[in-house]
Amino acid sequence: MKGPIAVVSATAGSNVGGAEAMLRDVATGLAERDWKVEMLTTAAEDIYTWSNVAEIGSRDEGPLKVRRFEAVGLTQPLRDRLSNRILAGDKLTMAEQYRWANAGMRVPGLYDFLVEHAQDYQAIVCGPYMFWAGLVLADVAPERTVLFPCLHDEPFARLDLYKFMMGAVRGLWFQTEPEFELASRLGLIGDRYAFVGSAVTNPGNIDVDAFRSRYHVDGDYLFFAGRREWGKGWPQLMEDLAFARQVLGDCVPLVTCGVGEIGSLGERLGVTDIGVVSDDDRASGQAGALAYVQPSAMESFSRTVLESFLLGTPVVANWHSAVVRWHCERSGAGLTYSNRYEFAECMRLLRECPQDVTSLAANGPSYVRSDFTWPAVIDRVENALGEWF
Amino acid sequence: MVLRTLLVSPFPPARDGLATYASQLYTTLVSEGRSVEVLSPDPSAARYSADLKTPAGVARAIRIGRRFDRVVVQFHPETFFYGMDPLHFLQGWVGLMFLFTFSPNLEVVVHETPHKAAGRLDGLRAVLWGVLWRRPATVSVHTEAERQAMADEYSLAPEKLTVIDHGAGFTRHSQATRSEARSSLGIEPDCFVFLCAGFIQPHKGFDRAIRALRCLDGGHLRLAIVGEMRVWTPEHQAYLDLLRSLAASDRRVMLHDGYVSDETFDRWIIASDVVVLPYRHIWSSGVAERADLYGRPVIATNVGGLAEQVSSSSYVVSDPEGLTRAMAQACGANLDNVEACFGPTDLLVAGAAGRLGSSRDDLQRLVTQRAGVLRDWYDPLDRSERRVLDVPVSDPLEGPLALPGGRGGIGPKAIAQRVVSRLIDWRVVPIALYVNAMRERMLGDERLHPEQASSSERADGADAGAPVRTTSKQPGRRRPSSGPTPRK
Repeated sequence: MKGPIAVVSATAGSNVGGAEAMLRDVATGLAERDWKVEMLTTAAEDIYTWSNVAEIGSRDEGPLKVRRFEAVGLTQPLRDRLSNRILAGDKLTMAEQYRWANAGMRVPGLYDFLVEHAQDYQAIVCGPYMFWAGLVLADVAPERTVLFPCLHDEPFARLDLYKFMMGAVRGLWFQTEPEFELASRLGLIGDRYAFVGSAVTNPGNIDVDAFRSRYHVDGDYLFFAGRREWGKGWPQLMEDLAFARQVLGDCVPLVTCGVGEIGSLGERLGVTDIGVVSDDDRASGQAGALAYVQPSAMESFSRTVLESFLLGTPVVANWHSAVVRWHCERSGAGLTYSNRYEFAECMRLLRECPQDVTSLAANGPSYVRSDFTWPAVIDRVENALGEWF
Repeated sequence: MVLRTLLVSPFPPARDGLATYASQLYTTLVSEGRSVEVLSPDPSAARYSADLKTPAGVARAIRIGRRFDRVVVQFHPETFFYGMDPLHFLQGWVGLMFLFTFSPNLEVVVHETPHKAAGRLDGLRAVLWGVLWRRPATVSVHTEAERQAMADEYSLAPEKLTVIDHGAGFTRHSQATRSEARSSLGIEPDCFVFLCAGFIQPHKGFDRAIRALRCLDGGHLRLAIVGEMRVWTPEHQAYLDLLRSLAASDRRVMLHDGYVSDETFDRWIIASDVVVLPYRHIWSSGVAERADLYGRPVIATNVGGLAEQVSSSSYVVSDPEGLTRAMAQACGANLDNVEACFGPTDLLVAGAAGRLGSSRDDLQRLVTQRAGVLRDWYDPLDRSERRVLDVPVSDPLEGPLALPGGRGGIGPKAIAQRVVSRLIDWRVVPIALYVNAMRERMLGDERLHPEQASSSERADGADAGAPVRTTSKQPGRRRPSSGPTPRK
């Protein structure tokens, strides 16, 4: 058996973000290839509250050993105050930056464990860059640490402490070239890096009719799956949708699933919110949609876009996300919009000649299967581990 | 016994559409033998004046009004409010409440509602306005559309509102013939003249008419844009600059930005063949009434009560293609160029005919092309463009202004800082945010126009000469067949 490898993730719950899901898939993929893999994570499953839900301690979950530590919650007023200054473009001192990082969710038990056991692992893989544990590993075991930055363009990525962190660790693994280019522009690239990519899995049970029946969805619809929050571009999507309605009179209705409120504008626009649903229902919703909408400008990979490609659904996406734009342009399976006018014109195309847009979707599955499969990703991860350690 | 009426309105001499309107109304009423006197918000030819934005001015207006049998207020928000921020709104609202409550037999003629002036109307304000509009004996508007909009927005009974003819009191200011008018204005006699006249403001949409004209062939066509900037703001100046720039690109456009007397204004209407009112928003238009006075057809956008206001021989349009087609029809120009200007105008037909193209790039190009037209139609000053984020830019302020942050501690200095912060943050923070937004805009401009900011850097491309990283320490690196090549 090869390894051992530790994969450090903020949460291992069922309803997690893209980075955490990717880390778990990498851990599982390695374990299935005879690597000894442990996941070091928290007992938290809610990325908003970080309340500890799962049992703290160690247990086997499939091919993985999962060690869960207690997450210590946010120091909210301080965190918010410093976050606002960062978002406003204020330059924080290094001490303030660390104060900000430590005012977020942190895992003191994980720190103690790593101090004692980091040298037991051949390599420690951690991500994304804003997870507190990355800073710990850059101090405790930099020579063993590989970071998946999962980077997107945001003010936090410009903090000096991350430049030091990414320069200290053994190397960086990037999911896409736009992510690498951003890291390069921000001066975050250290001595070693590799493109290991990322992947999406084949969707499970697709049953569009059952989805329509269960959630009372008729006719053509747009679909968005994700957190309804500012960071995911939700409020802007509502504004853009309202403008499209103003221009066109009406447009294809939107169905959405995920956490967060759709807001009063969403309600006035008649957005259908089906809340948190199973992976099968989400995939069925994506498969049945006329188009999948990706309004987020801050994506490091965008699994939902690639899942839509795989399901044969065209994508209408925010041009300001470099990686999503890259996917759409390379695959030919999606259109992008950079302002409300282009969004309205995308909606016009979908309303007036949907067949021209849906025909793009034929390009999607082959694009995903050629570049974004787990066997290929795990091959590249193994190559990098073999060469670096 | 003759009823004595006090007219409360801006009044000449003033460059103000409402003053012109009031002047004509005053002339008409006096010629009918009515007893009318005027109170204007600024000193003018009116017998009385009172600054209606101040409590003292409102009190004076009430005192004067009580000497009359009837008070008629020509309502425009700018007459009564310094601004629509909460403090100024409340101040103006209280003044209006007093004026509306204590003026005898009050009649209010609404020329524009606060909805348009404020840009938005929140729930509480709608309620407060509703309370206000219920006070006068009569509230009048100029079109049925305005009546319905007011009834809906302020929850008023429609019968509370009456519709009066906007042009009822309008009189001719010029007796020139068309040939005399053209000769005096330097217009060739055999040209076909479209006219956009009025104050130069973004919402007037005169740029729309220039863009439509560009799509029409015909050296005999002219578009005259006549008016002045009513108020100077950076936005109004930017709009005038835009008009100048557009006008410079087509020799058929005649832009006369500056003072225009009432007589000259009417002479331009007489000289024109069609008056174009491509407004982005408006309640009702005095220019439409003046065009009707001289029998000129109008091409107007379907906003506010314009569709209702213009005569049956006029055109009402809703989009760029419609405006262009209406102008083409009016002058008998060829319509073939319309599609070339806007892309396929009927997407469904174009799609069925396979003219959209089947590739992603074709569709994306179409989206971008049509979106440009859409932006020009709705907001030509909107700068939300695609930005090239990776172009290095120079920072005019060497970083943004710091916003007041956390001030911890319990010592006297910390307490003093907190006190000062409480006292000044409410004013300092918006200013700092504004300056930071300006800085962002400047940085954005440089990103948008990098050739002006750093032409030498861009000449070879930021990355073009950079070496490709070939370190052996990249075992997992993959190089796809397409897409940008990563370089260090």
